[in-house]
Amino acid sequence: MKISSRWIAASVALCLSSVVAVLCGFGARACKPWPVRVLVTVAPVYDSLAPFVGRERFPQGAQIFSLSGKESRLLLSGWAAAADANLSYDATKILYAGKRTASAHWQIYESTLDGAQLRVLSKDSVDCIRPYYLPDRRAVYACRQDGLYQIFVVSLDDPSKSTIISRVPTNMIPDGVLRDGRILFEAEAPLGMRGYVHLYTVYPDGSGIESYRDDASGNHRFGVELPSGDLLMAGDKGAALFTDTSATAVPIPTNDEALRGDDRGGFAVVDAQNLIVSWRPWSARGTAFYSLAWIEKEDGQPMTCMQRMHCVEPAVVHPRPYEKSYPSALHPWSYAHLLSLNSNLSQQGDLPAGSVAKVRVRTLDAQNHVMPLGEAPVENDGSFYLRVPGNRPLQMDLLDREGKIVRREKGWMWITAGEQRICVGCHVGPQRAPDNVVPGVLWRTTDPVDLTKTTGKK
Amino acid sequence: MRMKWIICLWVMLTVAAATTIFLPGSTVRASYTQEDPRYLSPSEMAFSSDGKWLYVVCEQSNLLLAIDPSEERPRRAVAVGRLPRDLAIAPDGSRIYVSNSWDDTVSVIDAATLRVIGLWHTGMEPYGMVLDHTGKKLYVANRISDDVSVIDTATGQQRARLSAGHGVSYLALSPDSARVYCTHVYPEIGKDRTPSELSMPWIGSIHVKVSPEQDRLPPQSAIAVIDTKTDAVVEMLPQHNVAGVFHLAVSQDRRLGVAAEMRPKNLVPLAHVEHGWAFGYSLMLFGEDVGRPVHVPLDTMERYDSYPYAVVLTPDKRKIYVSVTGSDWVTVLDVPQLLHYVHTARRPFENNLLASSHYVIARIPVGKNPRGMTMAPDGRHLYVADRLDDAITVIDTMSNQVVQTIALNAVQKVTPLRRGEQLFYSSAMAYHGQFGCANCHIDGTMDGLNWDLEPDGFGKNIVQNRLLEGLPGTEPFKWAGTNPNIATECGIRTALYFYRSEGYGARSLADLVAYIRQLSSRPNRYRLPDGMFTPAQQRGKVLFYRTENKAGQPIPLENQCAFCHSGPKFTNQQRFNVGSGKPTDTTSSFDTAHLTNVALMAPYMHDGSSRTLAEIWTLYNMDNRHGQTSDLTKDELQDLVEYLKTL
Repeated sequence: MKISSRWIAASVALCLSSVVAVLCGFGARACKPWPVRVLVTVAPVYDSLAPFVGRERFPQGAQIFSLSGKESRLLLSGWAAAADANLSYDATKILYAGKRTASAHWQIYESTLDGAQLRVLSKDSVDCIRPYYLPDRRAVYACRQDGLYQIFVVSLDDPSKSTIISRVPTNMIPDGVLRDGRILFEAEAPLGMRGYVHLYTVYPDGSGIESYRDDASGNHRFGVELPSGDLLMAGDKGAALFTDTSATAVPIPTNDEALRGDDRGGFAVVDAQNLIVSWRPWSARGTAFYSLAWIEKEDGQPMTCMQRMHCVEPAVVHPRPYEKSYPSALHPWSYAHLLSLNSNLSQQGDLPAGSVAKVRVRTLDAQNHVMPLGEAPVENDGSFYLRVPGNRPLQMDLLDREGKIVRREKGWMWITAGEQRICVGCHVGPQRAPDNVVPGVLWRTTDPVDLTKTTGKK
Repeated sequence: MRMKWIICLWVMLTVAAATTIFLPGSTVRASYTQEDPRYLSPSEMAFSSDGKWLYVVCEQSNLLLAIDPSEERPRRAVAVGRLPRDLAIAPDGSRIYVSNSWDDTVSVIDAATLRVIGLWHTGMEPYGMVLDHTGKKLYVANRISDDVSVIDTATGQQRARLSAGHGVSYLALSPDSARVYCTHVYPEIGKDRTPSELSMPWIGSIHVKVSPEQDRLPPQSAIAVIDTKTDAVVEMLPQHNVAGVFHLAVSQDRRLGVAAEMRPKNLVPLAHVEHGWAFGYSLMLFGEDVGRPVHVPLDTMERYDSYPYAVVLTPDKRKIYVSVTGSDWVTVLDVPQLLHYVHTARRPFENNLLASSHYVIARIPVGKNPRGMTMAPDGRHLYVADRLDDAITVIDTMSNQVVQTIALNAVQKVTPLRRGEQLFYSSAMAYHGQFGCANCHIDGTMDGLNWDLEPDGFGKNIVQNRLLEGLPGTEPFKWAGTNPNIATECGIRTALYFYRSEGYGARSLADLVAYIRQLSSRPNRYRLPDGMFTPAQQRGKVLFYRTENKAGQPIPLENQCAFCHSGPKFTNQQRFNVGSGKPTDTTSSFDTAHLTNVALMAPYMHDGSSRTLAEIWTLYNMDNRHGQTSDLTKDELQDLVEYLKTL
């Protein structure tokens, strides 16, 4: 077990370093002491994209450190590895991913900041990472199921009540919870396909999975909501914003290295003016360590952290407001309803009315084999109304009157059992509000075309 | 004669009250805050012609305040009529006119002494007012009678009443005084409906068939344009798919008109709220600057300008300011950028949530429920009435920063009822702040729309929205009668199926329910002052209470009007099948509607398919299940309607 010996060595190294107040090496600039208490994951080796290719993010272990002033100290002792600190709303408790032994699976734990009141929230048969508190006494995290990370929601009052909220054939890794109650997560785009890592949202009941923005410009990761409501994230060309007035990422105008064109290991919002960034120069991404910088407005300042260690996924220790809790309105069905208002609309270019005659729908079975569900008519105005099996990935083709494919969905969408979902069109983006018109299909019938028969579920 | 005495007495009482409460030396601040528990609720404002006084209409205290903007002189106040809504100032500054919406009057106030010197009659429920440039004609929008009164200010007599749209409420005068522009808050009901005629021999040709599609047409509104020379409506500017139009403004060069409007999404199932699924908020632009009228959205992807209300164009036409009453901010648009977008962007753009990024340059947080706005004579400072904060926010239009907040009420205590009112008008609870109670229940009433609410399935159980006044004693709620009380209606149901976001906490819900329960019914305009009935009303009353048909045969009890429509609110609070169900309904029995102020509640029936009271029987009561009416003549049905209006 080579890995185990490396784990032990790394863990010992990390623990030893915890007893010494360390200084940082951040180029030629002196490090600034911490004006607030910050938790950070420290690791000798870190590969942030590893979960998307089935590898370990921290192959030589990791530990959570507390940084304050010029001091750093190991927050939690007795762990072979610990990472992904997320503070409770009152900042008295912490969620994290931990390993008791090097060979154990990553599990989700909750404890007080001094490690007391420890309890495990996840099941021990698979790796679980990246936990975040939800506002209604629940938590969200990702667990690896059948080789892919999927999102789970667990009750803090009864951890035996955990629910997987989707089974899209892709890795889905939470980035946090937005103030409107949605879970923000990273996944490859289009969903279920190999591509760039993008940001998606889902309600805690599994409904409404969609891309946060339809911006296809490279990878978007480590999304964090700023007090302004804008979403800061790491792009391939530096930190960027998704504002609520833009469908594409807006580069942050800055002169600071830590925000401009670099590789990142996470953000933490201090307040409306201040931000902590984990970063390393993109040019030295193979050799340099991630370090921390304090960004005030547009100016950066290197901060104290561990030398020759990666300092990633910072989290500020301070109380924070609750996000809004999302009330689930799912119906008690095994199926779901899907209404498209106008499938002629698309960002790729609108189709003339009447050019789509049918929609063909397929899903994946438990072994991820493609399975046809059937076809349904499309009205002249582009509307169609389906009943589909719930908790299944779906993929659609739009067909013309001759049965030729007019548009083909590249990735997979997910619809949760009991969900009633309406789309403005096929791939029109979140910026398109619906027209106020009764969709043609509802004039003809209020009963959806039933495509659940194939799976026998209803 | 008797009416005159009542009016005289009312004037005397109000003047006496004003002079008692606001004797020289006393300020408003010192008096009502200690002796009068009412909030001021400033709604509309205007500067005196010399710019030295800011006059503020205070809705809930029935006052007009005069404020020295420099706050060097004490405030003054004068009592006006019930629920005042707007004001107009004579060009020479000598008079102030205030519309008293619950009294159907205009108070005439001497500006020098701030005393009421006259009381003029208007149509039903006067709201917005403008004076022509001579000051000789006062135009008053009457919300309930759907018309505009033209009042001769020399005599106080109405010279004309001009039909101007359903719920006409807000007016703007063109700078050259040639035109008055009028908006209305309720959509025209079934305006585009083209029913086909059916042969119904017992009534004649008034029986027509309406297809289901005709009941679910997009809402239509229009801006009526009055020629001030002829005092005639000379043009209607249509507003397709718009319901709820508020203030408007016209630029000094008369090339650009701007109206604040709501675009409800009542025809698509309300399956979720994100992506502008419940409402869109926009400005309608009209005039030579834009050519064909256009609707420019104010919203963004995760932030909605819920309930845009007042509109101010800066004198240089560089900026537009919009008070956004549900979002508690003022939105600022850059006019050159706006016009550039209008002329270059790909249409249609009214549902493009990215559009506003091209011309909205600021959203300035202000107090709760910002309503009327007025520009100071310096052309630089914008005054915003924070209605539910009892305050006025002053914005520097150069920097778009708040530079002052003028507290009108020294006591800052917010009672539970006031909190409930604030919640009612706030959009903060809905997902992304998209709407609040007041967006569908405009000023506590309704929106005149039917909605497709998702829980029942798509396209099923289309329901009409109802007036919220006088609700106690009309339980249960929802047309299917499934909600036993208002708390159920506004509690988890609202969170799950309307707001799609965190619901009200227990205390907030209690405050909101208390506020809604105390919304009293407005005065019935169809009753005679002495409580008697007109002959038509009397005949209608006999029909309402009849127990036999015209052939002398007994009418089954459940088919008599007064059986279901009984009790103090004219509902026995039971559900009945009156044959009004549609194929898309999952139930055929519906809650018996209360009839208090039923004249205001059009359209009618559970799905709003009857545009008028008469249509309930002429179109939808072929088999006499909704009362015995097939033996009534057209005139008799009209008598019945006249009586119902008095309830």
